[in-house]
Amino acid sequence: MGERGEEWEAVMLRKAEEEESKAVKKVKLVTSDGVTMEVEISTVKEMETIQAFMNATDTDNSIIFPLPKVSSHILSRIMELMSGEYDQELVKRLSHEELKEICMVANYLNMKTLLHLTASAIANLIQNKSVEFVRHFFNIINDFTPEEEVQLRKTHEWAFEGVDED
Amino acid sequence: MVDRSVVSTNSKPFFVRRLLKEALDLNDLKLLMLTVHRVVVEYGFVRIDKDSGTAVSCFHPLDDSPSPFSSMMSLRYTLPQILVDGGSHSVNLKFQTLGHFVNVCGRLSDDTGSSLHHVFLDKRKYVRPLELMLANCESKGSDGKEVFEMLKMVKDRVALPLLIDLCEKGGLDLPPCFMKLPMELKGLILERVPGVDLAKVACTCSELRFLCSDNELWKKKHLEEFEGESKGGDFKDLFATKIKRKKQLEWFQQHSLRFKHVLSDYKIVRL
Repeated sequence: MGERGEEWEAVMLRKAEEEESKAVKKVKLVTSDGVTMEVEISTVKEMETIQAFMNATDTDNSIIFPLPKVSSHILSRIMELMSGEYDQELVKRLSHEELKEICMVANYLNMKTLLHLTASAIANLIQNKSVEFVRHFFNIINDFTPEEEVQLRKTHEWAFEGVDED
Repeated sequence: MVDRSVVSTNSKPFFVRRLLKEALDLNDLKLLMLTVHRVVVEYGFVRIDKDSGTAVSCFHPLDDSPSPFSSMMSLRYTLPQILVDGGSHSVNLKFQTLGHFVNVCGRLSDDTGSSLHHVFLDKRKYVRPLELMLANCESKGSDGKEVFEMLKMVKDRVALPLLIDLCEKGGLDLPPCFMKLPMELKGLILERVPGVDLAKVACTCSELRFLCSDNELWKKKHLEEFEGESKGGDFKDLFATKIKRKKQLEWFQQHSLRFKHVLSDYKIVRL
């Protein structure tokens, strides 16, 4: 009985210690619009850029990390995606603008899962669309001469409707 | 007799019900309109007066249509930079009730030939979640999924295309988009696009034509979609040859019934 009690005490002590260390190590992310977001150290594990910075500075206290290229809106979207374990449904809710922004941030912070997810989502948007649609939706300016375009379409005929009935 | 028929359908007289229904319909329209208005403002638009062309305060009520019971309303927007430059380009956004739907459509107001961007919003689907969100009721079994869905539709199908049109018209810098992504990210995305779509992307502009001409990329596509081992050479050509053959085969299979007799004749001839 006594032994058990001691064991239990040890477990509780470890737990308390863990919690304490967690409480100390928080990361403050400062966004481009001046909002400070305090996040758990476990959250930034996936952000390799921040992780590398933390390893280099090696402090026990909380760290402030500026994110001059990330708005608070985008950062909160990223947090939602992370806490939702990158649910496809959450990705579907993002607007094209948000998707593109998040993709850029994922690249900047070196978040592999998020980068993969957003790149795939953007690639999905391109599938089964006409040249005109892709141009319009991705805001691509056509810099071909009419002759060039005719030629290009001819060489890529196989990608358009069916196959020529020879 | 008349009295009884009115009372029997419902406890309230018919005309009152009709009036109430109209008022509620109008409320739904206004709620959706306000939501769309917020999205549009979030994208950097400012509302302007239809006649004077000057900016309207954001506190100004949204309904300036002549009849209070009209089922169609319209708002006009421009960009602050266009006002500063003294330009007159603007976009017109119309809201029209069509049964259970509100049709939100917009185009450049001084160019009737420009493309029309529109979205149908189902009142039955979106009004209630919006009201819940307004009333701050989060725990009602709805996680705001419908609202997100609606906002996304309005952003992608109306607000962003209108912003692109207006920027082009006003000679302003275009909003950030796919082309503004760094080269390495474009490459990463193109890696995930199927071969046929990659060929179409190559036809959009010279930069993407260049990015889509990478032989390594086509080697990957060839491996993914045809699984066949190949020694080397031009993988795009190889891919094109195989896809043509595949399409021919599919076409042939689809029409095989029609050509069955031709086929058998062919066989006979060959034999």
